[in-house]
Amino acid sequence: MNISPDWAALLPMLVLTGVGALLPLIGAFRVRAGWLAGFAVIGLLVAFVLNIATIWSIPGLDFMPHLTASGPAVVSFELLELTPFVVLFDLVFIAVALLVVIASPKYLKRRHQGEYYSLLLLSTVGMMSVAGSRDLITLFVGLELSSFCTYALAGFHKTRKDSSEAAMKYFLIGSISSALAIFGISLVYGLTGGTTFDALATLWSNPLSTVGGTTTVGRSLLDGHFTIGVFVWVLLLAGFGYKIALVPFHNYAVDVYEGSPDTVSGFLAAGSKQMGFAALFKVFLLGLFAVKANWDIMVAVIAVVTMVVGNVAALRQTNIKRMLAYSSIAQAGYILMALAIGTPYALAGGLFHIVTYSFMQAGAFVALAAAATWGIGESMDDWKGMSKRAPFLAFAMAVFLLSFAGIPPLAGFASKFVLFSSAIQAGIAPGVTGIYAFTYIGLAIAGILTSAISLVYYWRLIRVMYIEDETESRRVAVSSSAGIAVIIALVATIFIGLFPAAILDLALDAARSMFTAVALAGS
Amino acid sequence: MDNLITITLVASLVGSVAVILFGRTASVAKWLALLVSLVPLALATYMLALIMMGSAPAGYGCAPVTGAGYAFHECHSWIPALGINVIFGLDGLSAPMFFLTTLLVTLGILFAWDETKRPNQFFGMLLAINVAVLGVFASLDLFLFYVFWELTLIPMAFLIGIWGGERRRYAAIKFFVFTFAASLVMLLGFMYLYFATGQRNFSFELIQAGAGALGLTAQRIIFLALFIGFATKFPVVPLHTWLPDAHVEAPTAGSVILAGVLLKLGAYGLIRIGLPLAPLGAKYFVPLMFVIAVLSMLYASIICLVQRDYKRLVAYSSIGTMGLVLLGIAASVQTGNPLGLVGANFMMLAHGFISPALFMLCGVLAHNLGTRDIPLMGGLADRLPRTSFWMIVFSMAGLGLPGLAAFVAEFQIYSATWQAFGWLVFIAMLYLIFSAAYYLWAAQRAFFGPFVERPEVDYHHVYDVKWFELASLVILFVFTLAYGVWPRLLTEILEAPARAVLAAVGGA
Repeated sequence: MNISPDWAALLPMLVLTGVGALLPLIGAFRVRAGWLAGFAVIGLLVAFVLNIATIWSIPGLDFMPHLTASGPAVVSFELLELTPFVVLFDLVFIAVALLVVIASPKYLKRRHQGEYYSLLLLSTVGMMSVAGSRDLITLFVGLELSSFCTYALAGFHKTRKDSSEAAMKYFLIGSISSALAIFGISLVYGLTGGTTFDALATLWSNPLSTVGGTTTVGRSLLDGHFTIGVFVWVLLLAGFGYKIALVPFHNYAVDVYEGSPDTVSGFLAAGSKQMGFAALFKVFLLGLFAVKANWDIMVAVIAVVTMVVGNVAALRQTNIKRMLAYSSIAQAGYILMALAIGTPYALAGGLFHIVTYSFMQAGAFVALAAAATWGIGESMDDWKGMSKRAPFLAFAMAVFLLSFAGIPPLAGFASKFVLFSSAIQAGIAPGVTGIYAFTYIGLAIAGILTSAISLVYYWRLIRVMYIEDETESRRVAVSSSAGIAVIIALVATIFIGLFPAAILDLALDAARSMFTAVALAGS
Repeated sequence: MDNLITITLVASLVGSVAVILFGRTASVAKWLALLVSLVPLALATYMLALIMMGSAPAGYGCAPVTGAGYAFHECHSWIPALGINVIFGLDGLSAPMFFLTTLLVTLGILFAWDETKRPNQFFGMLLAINVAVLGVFASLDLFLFYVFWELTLIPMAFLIGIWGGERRRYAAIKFFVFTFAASLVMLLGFMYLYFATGQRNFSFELIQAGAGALGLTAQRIIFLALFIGFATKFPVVPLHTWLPDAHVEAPTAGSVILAGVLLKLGAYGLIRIGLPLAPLGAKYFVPLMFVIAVLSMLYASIICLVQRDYKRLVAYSSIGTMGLVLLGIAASVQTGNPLGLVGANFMMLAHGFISPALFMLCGVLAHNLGTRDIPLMGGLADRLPRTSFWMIVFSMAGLGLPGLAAFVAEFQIYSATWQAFGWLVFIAMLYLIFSAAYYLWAAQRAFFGPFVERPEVDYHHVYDVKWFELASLVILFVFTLAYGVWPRLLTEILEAPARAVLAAVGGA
């Protein structure tokens, strides 16, 4: 079969769009929720396999273009591209969507679930567009597509007040952040006449030139020139920062994660957040790398503040969902470290952490969802003695929590190791001067200190599950589909921790492909 | 036979999982656990015996790691992108510790023979600790070392938290977070070494080859980072505060392992990694190590003198002993004479026999009398003759009675200290007086003197040591005696590795 690369690169998204469009139609015929979920799973698996076929050769799927780290990107209609970087993100999005879809049927407790799965799939398509975008407008469209779907998903528990509140908050804040982002994009258009990442890079690689006849922009901001160019990346950082829930844009996220249905919270924390990172990495590395010296210390400060605030705030939480929400904010701080350092190895660490974190986070929320199907609530007191009531679920949750803290030999440790070591590498590299050495080493130290702090609240839940005695001794059987999702996430966490080489190689390839593109963009 | 070390670890792991899943009743769990623990014990004994006889197979390496100087060396590729491999190997420094770990786990299982609370998980955790600690002693790759180092924390935290005493929740979290934080600092030191030596490989051998060339400031920072991690595990003052709570609240089998081997991880790490990989840093910080060592010894001993709780007394005495170990290490680094290192290692092993026995006896007291409070005891020798006998014997061993293992170690360490630090050794020797004082005074108050009936303690249902407790104690005593009268058993295999370590330190 010979499909032109244009279409082949789009194939996964087309499959998901097709399935997503059909699902509400099928759902209208009173089909059982399990069947709808199954259909969605099939679509997701097809998209997953198609994506894998671009980096491993799978017999029979040779029509998918083959990608290498240093090879050219496969461009699709000049709007979207496929590189190992994009493929890594696509695989993460699809995997998270898979976990959420598998866990949902019994959790949602309603007959009409067609729209739910459709929204999930379309949101995933939006995320994939963000990752694969070649210019800022495509990125924005993908961002909006994904966000609108998730606004609706957040309010899916229609009869619960906190779900509606979460949806409302999310919609308002999300719209504001999109407004900020589009404002930044419009400034880019105004200044350069284009919205591609190349245009953004051009904006910054020409020192003191008159572009577009209206404003002078300069490469260095620190010599006192007040230029409109500053607004560009501040607005973009703020717009994407809201999506990622970085500090100080994080407040809404905790309430949104708490109020949304558990599976949707998992989707938001493990999927939407990574979409924000994809956007951030692309914009800052492809577009603004030439002026890295202007933003990297600020990004490092934001990363440290995010790590600290996220972890410290989590210490006081007695509601598991809020604790997981704050912990996800802190984990975003670790990933942001990769951007602040900006070397290929650091980016590989950030991407690796995105993969491992998505599994852990989705797994933790899905475990909550599984417990909720049997009426176990979300506060820590409800989970007392879980190790006797639902031993497998307690074990899985304990593994996820330890992985979050970064205990070997779990996945969280492997990725944190790469991240922190990249900070050390950057800090002791010869020729790195005072403030930068301090910043990079400081990032590593902040990382380990906050990891140690985080262990306190992760251990608290483990202690409640294993050491405290249960208040109700009813044994709980986990519903099969949520259990399967938990098993998948658990196996992934343990397997990636024990054998990180495969995912690490993928992350390294993805990082190298991004920096190949960076080199091309700057030239 | 190849890959013996991996087989030992896998056997323990499989056994641990099997006990947790299949140990439905206490009796199935404990017999299964005991039988399973004999496998690593047998393998470790075999490996130690071969090393002692000098006929241990050298194993294989993977280019460019050769594995020279180690026995049973094995190398498996793990994360090629970062140069991380699963490298195991034993030599004279690690083989006795390897053996001690398996022995203590077996004895711990034996001692806890009548555990009834969640027995399958209890024995499973003991076997899991086996895996983790054996992995640390056998690792020859820094990343692998760190993975096993942290892994030791999880089963121990569960053991303390689930089966511990009244304040177990506090003790467990303090133990976990404190040592975790310190280990992370050590990890940063490992990362620094990895990048600074430019080897792109985490194996000891390759990093050691490049480490001597690092600059003075770099080596000092690295040594300090590593030292913080190791010193917390030792533990030495001022990073010792987790130990009293962890030891006292842990169940006896947990204390046995904690005191017997987990503490030795710090000393082993310092000797194996800290000294050769940051030699200039080590030499620079010798005065600091000396001060910390002596401070630990004296501070801990003075606190022992005022303890009411017998188990707490033994816990603080461990801090003092580990201070002595650090003293021996510091002395060797100062002079280049391996005597201090050999003495330190000897002390690690001797303490690994004596301290678990003392904790076991405290466990017997607590179980029988319902209290560990010394003022509430008196004249117990009348009711508990065997317990008293063994407590006196091991107290004598602990304070360094000649003929038992600790004396040999103390003699070597003090000789090395005299050579290295001159008359300052007399300050360190105050420890001998203090340790004799607190051991003898506690034993005298508890076991001798008039028997006093107290309302808090039920003396009418006491029973002396049971057969399984006695078996453990006798085995430990045999080793204490054997190493005490025939120290060559150990010093012969210690000398070559100690010289190798000092060569790496001195060569810089």
